[in-house]
Amino acid sequence: MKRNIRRYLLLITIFIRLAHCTTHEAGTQVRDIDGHVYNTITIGNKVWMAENLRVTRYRNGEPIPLIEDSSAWSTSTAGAYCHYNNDTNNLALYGRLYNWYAINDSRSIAPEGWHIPTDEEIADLVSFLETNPASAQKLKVKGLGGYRFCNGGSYHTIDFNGYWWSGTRSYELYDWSSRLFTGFADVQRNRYESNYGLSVRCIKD
Amino acid sequence: MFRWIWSTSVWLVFACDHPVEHMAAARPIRDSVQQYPTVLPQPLIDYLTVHLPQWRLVGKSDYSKTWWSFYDSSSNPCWARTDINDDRLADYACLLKKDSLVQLVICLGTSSHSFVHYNITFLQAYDTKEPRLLHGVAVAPPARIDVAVPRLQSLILRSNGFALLELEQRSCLYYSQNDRLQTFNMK
Repeated sequence: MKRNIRRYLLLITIFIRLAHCTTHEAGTQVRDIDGHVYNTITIGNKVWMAENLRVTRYRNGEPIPLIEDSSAWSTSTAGAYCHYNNDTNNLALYGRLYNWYAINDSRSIAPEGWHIPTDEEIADLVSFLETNPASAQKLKVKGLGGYRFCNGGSYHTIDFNGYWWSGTRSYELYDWSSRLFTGFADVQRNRYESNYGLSVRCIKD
Repeated sequence: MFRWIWSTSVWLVFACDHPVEHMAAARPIRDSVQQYPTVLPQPLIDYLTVHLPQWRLVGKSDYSKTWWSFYDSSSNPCWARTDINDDRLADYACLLKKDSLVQLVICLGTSSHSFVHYNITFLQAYDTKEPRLLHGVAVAPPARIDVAVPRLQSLILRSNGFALLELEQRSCLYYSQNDRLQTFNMK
C-alpha cells in the first residue's frame, strides 16, 4: 500500500514537472536583473521583447534613478526612468520610460544576452515591415506607451503612439498606421533630445 | 511517509522558479491598437445623426481624380482618429457634406462615452454632379513644425493633432492646448 502511494506521488511529480516545462516554453521568455519576465516575438530574423522594458537596475545591479519631478527630468544628464503620468498603474501594460542617458550607459540596461536595437537593425526592421506590414501589429499588442517630453517633462500620446529608443534615435508606431517611423527623437541631431522619456524593447544578441 | 510528502512538496515549490508575481497580467488586445477601423464607430454615427442632422460623411467617391493621383486608393481622407488632448479617449476629425457644402468637424471623446463637437471650417462648394473634393484629413503626430510661408512660424506639437490636407499640402493643423482647440495655419 505504502509503495503504491509512493509510486502514485512519483508519477504526479513527474507529470507536474513536465507540465511546468511545457507551459513555460523555454526560450520564449527573457528575464531582467529585477526578475521581470518578458515574452518574446520573432520579427524577420530577429527575436524581440514582446513588451516594454520595466527594469530599474543596470546589468551590474546598480540602480537607475526614478525621476518624477518635471524640472529634474528635463535637466538630468544621467540615466533615469519614470512611469507615464508618474502613475505606477501604467507599469504592467506600458513598462517604464527611460531617457537616452540610461540607454547609452556602459553598464547596460538590457538583460544579459540582449541589447538595445542599433540604428541599422531598425533600418532593417523598416525594410522588413514594408513587405510585411502585419508584423508591426506584434509590436503594438502590449500597448502604445506614449512619451515624456524632453523640455518640461510632460507626458503625451499614451494608447495612441508608441516611441522606443534605438542606438541614437527613436522609432515609433502610431495607432492609425501600420508603418514604422523613425527620428522623432534624434540625439545626434539634437543633443537636448536625450531627455525624452521613451520606451525600450531589446533584441536578442 | 510524511517526510517523503514533505520533501516532494518542497521540491515542487523550488521547481516553480519563475517569479510569476513579476509577470504582467495577460490582457486582451486593446481597441486602440487594433487595425485602423474602416467605418466610424456607432456612438459617433449616432452623435452626428442627432447633432448634425442632414449632414453625412463624405465618401471616397466624392474625391476628384486629381486627389487619387496623389494618394493610394486604400487611404482614407474622409475622417481621422487619434487622441489630441491626452485624455486617452479617441477624438475624430470628419469631413461632412450637405447638398453642395462640405465642412470639417472635430469631435472630442468624453468620459461619458459621447462627444463634443466643433464646427471648424467650411470648405469649397461641392459639385454634386461630378466628384471634385480636394480636401482630406489626417493625423499629425507630435513634431516641431516650421513654416516659412505666409510668415515664418514654428509650432512644437507635443500631442497629436489633426491636419487638414489640400491635395498633398497640409493647409492647417488643429490641436489642443490648455483645454482649447487651437489652429496653426500652414498656408
